[in-house]
Amino acid sequence: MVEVRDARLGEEGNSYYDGRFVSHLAPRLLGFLFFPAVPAGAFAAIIAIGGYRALLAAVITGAALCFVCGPAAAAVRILLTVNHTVVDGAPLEYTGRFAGTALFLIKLSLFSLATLGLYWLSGLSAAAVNRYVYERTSRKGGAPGRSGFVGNFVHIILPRVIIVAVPLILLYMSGLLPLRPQNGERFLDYLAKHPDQEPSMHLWTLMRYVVYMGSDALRSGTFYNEVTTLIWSGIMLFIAALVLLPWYRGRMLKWQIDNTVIDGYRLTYSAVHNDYFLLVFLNGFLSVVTLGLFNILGLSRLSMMKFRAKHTHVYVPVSGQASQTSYMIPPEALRVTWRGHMRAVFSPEARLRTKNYARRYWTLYLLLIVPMVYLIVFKYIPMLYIQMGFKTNNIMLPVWDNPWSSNYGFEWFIKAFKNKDFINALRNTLVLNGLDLLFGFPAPIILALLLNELSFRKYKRISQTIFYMPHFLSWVIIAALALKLFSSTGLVNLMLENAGRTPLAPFSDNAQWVVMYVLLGIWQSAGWGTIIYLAAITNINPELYEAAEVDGAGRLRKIWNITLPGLRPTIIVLLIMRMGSILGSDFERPFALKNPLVSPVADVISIYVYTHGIRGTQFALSSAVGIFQSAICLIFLFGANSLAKKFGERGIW
Amino acid sequence: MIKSKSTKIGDWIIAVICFFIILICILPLLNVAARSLSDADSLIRNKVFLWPKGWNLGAYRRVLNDSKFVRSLQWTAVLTVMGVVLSLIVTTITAYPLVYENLKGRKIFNTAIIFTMYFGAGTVPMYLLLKQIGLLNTWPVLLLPYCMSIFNMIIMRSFFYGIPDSYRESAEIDGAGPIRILISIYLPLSTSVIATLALFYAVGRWNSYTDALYFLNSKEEQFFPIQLLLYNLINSLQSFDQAQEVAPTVGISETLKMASVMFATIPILCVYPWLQRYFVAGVTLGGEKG
Repeated sequence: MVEVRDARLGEEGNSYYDGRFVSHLAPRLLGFLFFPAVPAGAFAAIIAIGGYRALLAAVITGAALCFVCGPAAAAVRILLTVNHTVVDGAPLEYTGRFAGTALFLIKLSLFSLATLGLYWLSGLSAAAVNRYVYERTSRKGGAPGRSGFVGNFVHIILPRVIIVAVPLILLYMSGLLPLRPQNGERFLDYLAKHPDQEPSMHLWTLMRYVVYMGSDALRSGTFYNEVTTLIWSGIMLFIAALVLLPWYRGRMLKWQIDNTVIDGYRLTYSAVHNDYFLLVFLNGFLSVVTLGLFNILGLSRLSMMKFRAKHTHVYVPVSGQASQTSYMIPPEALRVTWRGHMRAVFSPEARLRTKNYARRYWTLYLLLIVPMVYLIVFKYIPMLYIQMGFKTNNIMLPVWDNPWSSNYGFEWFIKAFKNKDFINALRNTLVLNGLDLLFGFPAPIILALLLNELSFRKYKRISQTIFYMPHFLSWVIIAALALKLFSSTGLVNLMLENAGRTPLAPFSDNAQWVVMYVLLGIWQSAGWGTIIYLAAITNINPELYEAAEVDGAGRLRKIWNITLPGLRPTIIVLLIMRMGSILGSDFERPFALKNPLVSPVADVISIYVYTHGIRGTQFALSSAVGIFQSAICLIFLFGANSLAKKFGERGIW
Repeated sequence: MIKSKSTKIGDWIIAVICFFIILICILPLLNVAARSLSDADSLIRNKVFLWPKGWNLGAYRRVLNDSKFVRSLQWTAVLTVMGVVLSLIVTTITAYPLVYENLKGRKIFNTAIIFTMYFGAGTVPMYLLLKQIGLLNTWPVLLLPYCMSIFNMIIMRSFFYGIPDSYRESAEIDGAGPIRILISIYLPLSTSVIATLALFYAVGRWNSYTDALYFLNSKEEQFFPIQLLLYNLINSLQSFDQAQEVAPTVGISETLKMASVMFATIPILCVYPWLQRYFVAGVTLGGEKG
């Protein structure tokens, strides 16, 4: 491969996909509707004959789908896809034929079947398809045979293994795999009981477990429980499909385009992986919502193709600097096969490289062990306990062995939403966080603007120091201060008394307490919050201010037209973070400030979890509440982030 | 540059507004300080405003003589020092390897670390885990579970990124290993960020009472950090002067509470102004990258 030096990307807007919805509908219908008609007819016929032949029919149907309809549809799709793509102004053309491509794909399906899917899993099939397709793709009228795919299967293995392994590991670790034989014993217990058995016997038993699972569940009346388990497995797999699959496809897309050469020019993918992830995620979501219709009609594919073509570019030389070879790939470089790659990986030089790498960096991995152990023990293992929210609340049993709660595991969620205390806590959380957002969020911005306009240097520095001070006080201390300040003999009430007003009692009056809560929040964090805004203000180009001054802009004008727009990215990022915690509730602040008199407005979710969960041992209920809270937070975070990106902001990732 | 008259007036208006905000910031604290230094009688007669009436250091003396309070203060100091050291070590050895751009698996480590910032299991799962591994109701529970803040790790990592790679590369050519480079190049260059994070961790540890409230029961009272003790003191009817068999007059218990609050506040208020330059830079660094 030739390194690309002194090159820049092709221009935005010159790459696009001009296929229509119809071009995607056709292969879909071919794959989903038309071709199945043939095996379906066969199926119906054999069913009519009856008996065990139904099995045969199922096999024939499956084979027809895998080996005839699928490849045929894929071949049509490839043809249409390539012919409708324009890369940097050059329309592409597929020089292969439909029949040849379909045959090639059928061959790969057979390989996959023969190796029990290993061929697919290892990524060999994906690499082979890519190579086949790109060797037959050229620019319209370009020289055939100068295109190709220089990637190899190694890059595909890991993502594939991950998308297969992660759901399995999740299922296994969460105890969801219902490996129970007739007597209700779990496979793990069986293993523990028979430690001296041969490994092959274990395998055999495992198979028996899987086979007996269904029939046993039906017979012994544990069917309900198994249904719950199955539903949960389904949900987890669904999450895996919506998250892992988009991730995988995004990875593959980038890798595929970056390794493609068309007529000697190397392609490059200019989009951010996350954008594509989001697109595929949305498509998957839409497909699910429309019961697959979105996918079947080819709409999802169409949007992905449009995205993909739009971000595919060619490296072009920077004029007058680079030579032709710096961005063109010589044809002989295209003959990189996976065999060649393996040879390169295991060559003596490569082994030496690996050895040197290991010798150099093993200490780094040694260092990383500590944080990894920390994260696994204190962050990731607790996540496994989340399932508790879906199980019965039996403190005696370990979490793993607790049976699922009723209502398909949603018992505690239903209970929580029927619980007056929880609804109250939810409302309080929303109200307090909403008021915080409304009043507490703009406060540091205003304060920062004020500080920025303060023109006495020393005075400014001293005020900053004092503004930061409340941040360093704990909420216990702030609560103590407030208690004294607002007590009947406190500073505030003394002053009010002197002015002849009625005294305040925020620690016994609900409405006053809420106001005090918000104000104390501002008092504590507004000063600290200015740091980040002040830093952002210093990054604003001073020439803008000078120019504005020349134009006769006043102070407010400058703030409104220069400073605030300059702060916009910072404000948006912080706002996204804020949105992510709209339902997340701080514990220290309300807990320190509250007392029994104001608990109708002060009990937020975190306090609810504390009193019911940790002090009240209703672990399942409070876990369910915690799950609800985390999920909403995550949704808000993602929502706010993608909304910000929609409006052309940078977002937080 | 010559300023116009209206600009000058504006400057003064802003200065006055800032002065009022400063007052709002420090008045409550001054009031408490004055109360803690006053004698009980003036307190009851509502006299104390910002200047102590009837100078009296008795409250402080009594707080210092209260063995429970002093022990808690000492214990919190020890805990804070241990926590800061532990947290700094863990944070450093997490951030440092991630600086190596050619470290294989760097992205995976990065993602695994950052993910925990956005999604956490919650308190109840943590409680059950601690129960299962036997940390519940023991003092290490105040150190271990939250010993690294991902946000602080990002600050440190960003700082490390700012150190030119050429330093590291030349050291590598001289035959120094990663740990050697960390100790003799990275750490000496990053004293400012270490100071910042030390302050953050120390403030966090000193001010936190949630973990003790969650994970320690009342039998473990000797390990209660000062904030939890204060919380109990301020919120419970039986204030600790009753336990000390002092006549429970309102005024005395008032000054005592205020004196304890001052004790818990002053250490941090004495430290933070000196580190202001550093933590401002630290927060900015974290805000840009986080």
